[in-house]
Amino acid sequence: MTRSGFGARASGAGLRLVEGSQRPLQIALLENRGLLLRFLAARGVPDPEDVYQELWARLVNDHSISHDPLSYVMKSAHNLVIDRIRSSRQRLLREKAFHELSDVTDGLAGEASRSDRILIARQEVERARSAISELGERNSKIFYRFRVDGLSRPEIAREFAISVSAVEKHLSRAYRRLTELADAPDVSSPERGSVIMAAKTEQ
Amino acid sequence: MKRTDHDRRAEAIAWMIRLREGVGPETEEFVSWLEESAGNRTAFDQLAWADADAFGALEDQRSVPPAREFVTMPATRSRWWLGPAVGAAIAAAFSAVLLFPRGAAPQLISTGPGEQRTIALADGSRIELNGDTRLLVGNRQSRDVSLQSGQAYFAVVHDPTRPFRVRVGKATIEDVGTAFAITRDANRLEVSVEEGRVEFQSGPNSVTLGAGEAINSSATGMRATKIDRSDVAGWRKGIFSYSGRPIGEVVEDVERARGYRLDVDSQAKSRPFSGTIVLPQDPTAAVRKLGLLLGLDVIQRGERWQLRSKTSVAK
Repeated sequence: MTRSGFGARASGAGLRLVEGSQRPLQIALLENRGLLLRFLAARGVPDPEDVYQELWARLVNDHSISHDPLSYVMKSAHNLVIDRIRSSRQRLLREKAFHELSDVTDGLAGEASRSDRILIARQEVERARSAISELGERNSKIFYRFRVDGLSRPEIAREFAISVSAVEKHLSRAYRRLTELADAPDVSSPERGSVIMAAKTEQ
Repeated sequence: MKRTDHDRRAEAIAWMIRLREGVGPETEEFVSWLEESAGNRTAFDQLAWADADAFGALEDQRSVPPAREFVTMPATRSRWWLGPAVGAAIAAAFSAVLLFPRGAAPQLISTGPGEQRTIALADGSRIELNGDTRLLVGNRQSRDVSLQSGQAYFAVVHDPTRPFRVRVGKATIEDVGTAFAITRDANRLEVSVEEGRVEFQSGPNSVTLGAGEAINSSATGMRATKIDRSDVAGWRKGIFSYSGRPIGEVVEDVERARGYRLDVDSQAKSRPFSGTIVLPQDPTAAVRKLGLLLGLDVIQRGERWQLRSKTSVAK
């Protein structure tokens, strides 16, 4: 009796093992293939098919149970896009240096050096940190519960004894504050953008 | 009426909240919103990065990194002076400068996992040892050392009459005025050059490496690669940078530099990893971040951490 021979499905509070069936995550991936490809394309990945394959590879061994497999798949797809752009930022510069030797000066001249980019990444986190602390303790706690602990708006509302719309206001405020930082001229958004377009798949 | 950036931003935030909570049946609507205009896509992309950075910031907030300690150690004291009871966490934050004794007999200098040490030689050259490293040095005047195992960074003052030599097993690495790093463990020998030139000799083979070049010698053969110079001995700065290296190697490097005890499942070990990892000082935060970046689940078992292939992808 191997694990892979079973699909796990949540039903109510209990867990049901469905023998021989595909897992719900796989079903969600298959049924929403077109939609996922559209999402990946809209997020700016140049190779949605490849990213879809990677998403499949990640989720095929995922035994977690979700009442809402599509939501789970979408979250995973979103995270995957972020991860890929992050790592391709580094890889791309290397590939340029390796394979387009004639273009090395052109390709790298405009780019910050690696340590500069690491510094930029740190600065971004640092800015985010100060932006969050400016929100005040209560608001940043609410944001923490949402973003790190993954609580839903109603759950947070109960915990802080406030209305769901008040939770929404806190979350919007936090996100608005964070994106205002992204408008600052020295943040590397344009670099990110250009790498999205040029990102390649690593098989 | 034309929609303003402000509206778009508010919509992007609403979608981000729904995405994190579970966008489920609204996925179609969400994707259509993204497809509707470049302005929407840009607003969401900016927010996505803000959201990712926020996660990093909130995670780091959990722990305040301990101050780095610099200690000058008397030469007569060995690392055992630390005593076995000193935990890995303290060792991780510990960095010592070793003043080498004048005219002493050949000596084995070793560091425990997570312990880093700097050796100052009489000619102004400097050797920095990463954790879990063994280096044999003649004496303080010597320019002939032997790296038994581990990772070391050499900043060498060039002397044409007395070349600086590092022996690593059967190979000899000779400097031509330079800064370079060597990694030696059971499976690999790696030399990477930050500045100047290095002569690498193994048996009948000899290669000259320039700045920004590295050589990787393993059971499968020798391979020369171009590297980013600022990647050389990244462990000195707490930076781990890789291009298509197996996860097992990444984890080994982190264990060495930080003294954590990490177990990776064999399936994940061989998977390639590309990217740069900057770890916070706090062990729990660092291992969590490592797991996150390698796409592995982290389970703490007493003093050990298990890194397992993900059973869950969503954050």
